[in-house]
Amino acid sequence: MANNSRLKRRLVSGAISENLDLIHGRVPNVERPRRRFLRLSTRGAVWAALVLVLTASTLLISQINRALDQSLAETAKPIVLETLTQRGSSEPTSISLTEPPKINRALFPLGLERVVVDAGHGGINSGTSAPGMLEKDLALDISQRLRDLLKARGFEVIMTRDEDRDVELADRAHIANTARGDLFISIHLNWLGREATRGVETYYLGATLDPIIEQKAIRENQSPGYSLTDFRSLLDGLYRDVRGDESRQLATFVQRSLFRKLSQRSPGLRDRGVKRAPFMVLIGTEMPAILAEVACLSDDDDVELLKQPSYRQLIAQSLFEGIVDYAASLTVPPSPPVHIGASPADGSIAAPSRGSAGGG
Amino acid sequence: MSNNNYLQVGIDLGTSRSAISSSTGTRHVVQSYVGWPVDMVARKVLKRDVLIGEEALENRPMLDLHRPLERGLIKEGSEKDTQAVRELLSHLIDLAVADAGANGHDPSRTRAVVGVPAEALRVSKQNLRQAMEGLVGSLMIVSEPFAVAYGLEALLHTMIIDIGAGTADFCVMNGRYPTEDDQRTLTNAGDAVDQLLFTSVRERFPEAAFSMHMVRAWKEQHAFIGAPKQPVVVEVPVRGKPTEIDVTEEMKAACESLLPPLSETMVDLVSRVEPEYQAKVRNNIVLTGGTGLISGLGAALERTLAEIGGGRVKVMADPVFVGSDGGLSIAVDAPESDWEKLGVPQNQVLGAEEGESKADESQDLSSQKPKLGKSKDGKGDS
Repeated sequence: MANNSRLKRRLVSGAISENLDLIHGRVPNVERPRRRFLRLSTRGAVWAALVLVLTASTLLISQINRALDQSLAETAKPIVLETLTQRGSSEPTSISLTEPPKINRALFPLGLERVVVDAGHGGINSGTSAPGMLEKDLALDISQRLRDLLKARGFEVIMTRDEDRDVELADRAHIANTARGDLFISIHLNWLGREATRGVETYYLGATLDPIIEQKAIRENQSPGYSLTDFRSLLDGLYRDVRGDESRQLATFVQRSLFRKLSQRSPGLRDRGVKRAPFMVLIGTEMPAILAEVACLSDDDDVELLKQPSYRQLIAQSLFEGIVDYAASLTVPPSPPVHIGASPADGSIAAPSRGSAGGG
Repeated sequence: MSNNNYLQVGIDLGTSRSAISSSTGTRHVVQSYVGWPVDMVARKVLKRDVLIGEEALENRPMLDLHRPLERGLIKEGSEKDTQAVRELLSHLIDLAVADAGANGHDPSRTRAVVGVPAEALRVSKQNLRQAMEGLVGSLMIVSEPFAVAYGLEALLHTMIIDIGAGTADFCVMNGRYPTEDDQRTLTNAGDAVDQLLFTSVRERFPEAAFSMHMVRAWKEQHAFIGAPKQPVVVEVPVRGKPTEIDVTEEMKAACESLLPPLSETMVDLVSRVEPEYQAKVRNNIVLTGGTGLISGLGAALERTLAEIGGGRVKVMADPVFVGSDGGLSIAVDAPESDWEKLGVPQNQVLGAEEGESKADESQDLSSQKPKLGKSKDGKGDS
């Protein structure tokens, strides 16, 4: 009898705890042990990385000084001349700019602190659907799970929506830009038709020649909230920075993580790859930005899996790990940043940046 | 625990029926239908702004009728359905308050435990919390099969299968609060049977006139799995003439469509239990919910269990209040200090727009934007 009372107390306590998690937007209790483990192992890794970065940065600074002297002499000067030529030209539109020198982000260990999570659709804009499931709900559920994981790791997270409401695409970008996010991830669910192979795919901003992707972009770009003038200036600024490169990097890490983790639970899942598409929500953002199609609502197997909270948690975990991998790639230089005694092969120069490359 | 000054209720918010059990010892069940008079004439005839439950069903030709819960949760995308859920919840709580003899009861002194499908999305639970604003002071949302298990004190090495109209919920109780891995929700439930039965009877008897409500009534009276005890013969109008038709085969096929997903999920959940306790769980399966009463369903599940070592399925003969009673038990057992943490904002005030709705009787109500105000005389069945 006493055992039964103790058991009841434990069960009621579990129910209350779950409700408090719901009220305060926390990950349910059941996931905490794993999170704690992750946090502890992460803390160790962070300390180790810190020591490594401090040691490396001393060497790096002396290398950079030498490299800058050389690369500025070879690279910066032609850029100035080119700009003057443009200003003086009577036909500015006919002059094609040579591609600006690429910024080699490996020169500086960059931090990633603020992540903007965008749950696709919302309110009257339900997105795609399956029986009993709406894209807007699933996107929000997965986004909230991702938010919790990121917060637990110490990231600052900004949600473009945290409830079932319609937010215009321009407003989503505005939220991200105003918050000075370091990274933007938009979460969606796919509809590929009954005959298509299900899979996961991740997009970053770019032109596409694929008519199917073009149609998808047209669908996703509804309710943009941009005027034609806004749109032109957005397009003008598109390729002026390294956002494209960074977004591709981010998309690659996230796609790799999504496929690696989800295919273990969902055999037959196809890696549909990293793709370019002109999604409006990616155009307006001023930081590395991607759009992830994390599952497919036209596929019965995916629909069954999506009914399981543990699968939705797995999706969030996959996105989270992709972001963490990307963040790690910013702090640990992927390749030797500077060739001592020689100019960089791509004429790159170092660009100081707050948090992420091209983040502004 | 000093919960004496509070009205505590357990609510089973069902797609088809909703039940409430209160700490005063009374219980009510209401059909989950809410209807608004379609025009001024209807309102004058019915003398109500809103009708709920059986009364709404009986008067449905004069009503804009809503069945606002879909798969045990608030239907998405319709403001009117959200309004209907509030009306339904408000009505249930009013019934409990009336029992307590507490006219002018302060909603903030009501504590409610509401059961939802085991795998309800968090966003759906948040919607429910919003719908409860102004109706209760504190709210705890639990998975429906957990509430059932708690009410039956089936807390250890037990599996609850709660099959309602909208969902079939599974929950394994192994001495801890069930996690996501211990629970499943299927949408293969009573409504799916109704739909299949409707379609197949329509195909075989294209000239017969019948509605989904009639099909639901046939199912509640004759549903079976296995060999029929007697032919299922129902009466329907064919070109206006009452005619008897035999729907035995259609009934059998529709009901048995539930078996594969139910069996598969049951076996899958058993296989996830720690090996040493699997036999105990197999022998402690409780089948509840309105659709769980389909004749032969328990036996069919036991035949499936026989393939993995055998087991026993106990069918709850009177499942109507099992969930709400469980919710009430949880409400009573929860400590006072914890209830205080589960407060619900009191922003939405009931009846705030009542005057406005009555002021303009010339308008067609069906075209009006739904209001959050609740009619004081909105009585339903009990």
